[in-house]
Amino acid sequence: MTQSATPRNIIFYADDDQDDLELVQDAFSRFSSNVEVITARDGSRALQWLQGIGKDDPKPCLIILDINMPVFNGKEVLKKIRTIEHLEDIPVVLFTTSSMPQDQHFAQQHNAGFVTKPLDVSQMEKICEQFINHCPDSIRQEIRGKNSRR
Amino acid sequence: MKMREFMSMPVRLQVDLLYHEGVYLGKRFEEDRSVLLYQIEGFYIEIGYRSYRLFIHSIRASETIDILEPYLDQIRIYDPDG
Repeated sequence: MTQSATPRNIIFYADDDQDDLELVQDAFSRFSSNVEVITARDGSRALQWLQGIGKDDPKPCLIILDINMPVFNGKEVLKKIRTIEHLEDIPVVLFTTSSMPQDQHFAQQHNAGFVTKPLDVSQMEKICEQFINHCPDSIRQEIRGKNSRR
Repeated sequence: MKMREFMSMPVRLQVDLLYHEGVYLGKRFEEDRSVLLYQIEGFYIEIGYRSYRLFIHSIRASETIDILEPYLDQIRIYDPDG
């Protein structure tokens, strides 16, 4: 689990693949003045971190979950998140290598986005925008606004 | 889509097709490069990266299952009945 002390918009990302963790962290590095990416390496650690968020603590503006993770997979973590009262409204995106319709359907059923992992740099740029699009309006404007002024 | 048709396409179109229709099967490392295996219809495609998921080094296709061997421990079999 990685976390800095600076209070910013938090994007929480759980994935067991170190390369994918670094890929997403790098993609958000251009928003580093106001976005912090906190990561977890499996579904259990993800849930532990998310369940540790108190009602008055800063909450992530977006949760990104890989589907194929050890201990609890991304779909199990998503289901749990939707049962935690003060987390249930946080936007969640399943970020996965899967393009299986049943996984996309699962995401829809649980009010989550579904984004397929990229295959090259042009797709990665679009995916970063897709992630930000899932954030609430005010945060989305804040992230883009601050970044465009840099 | 035949393998020959796929391999004659520009890389940009190959990548878009794989993104939308490819089924991910696994990942391996070859020397310092990450290699991802996808399936489209009846053939398999390996993408070798010089920078993971960003810059492609090579694309190789095969219709034989030998290409699966290094990935066998990762392949997820979907059971529609649960």
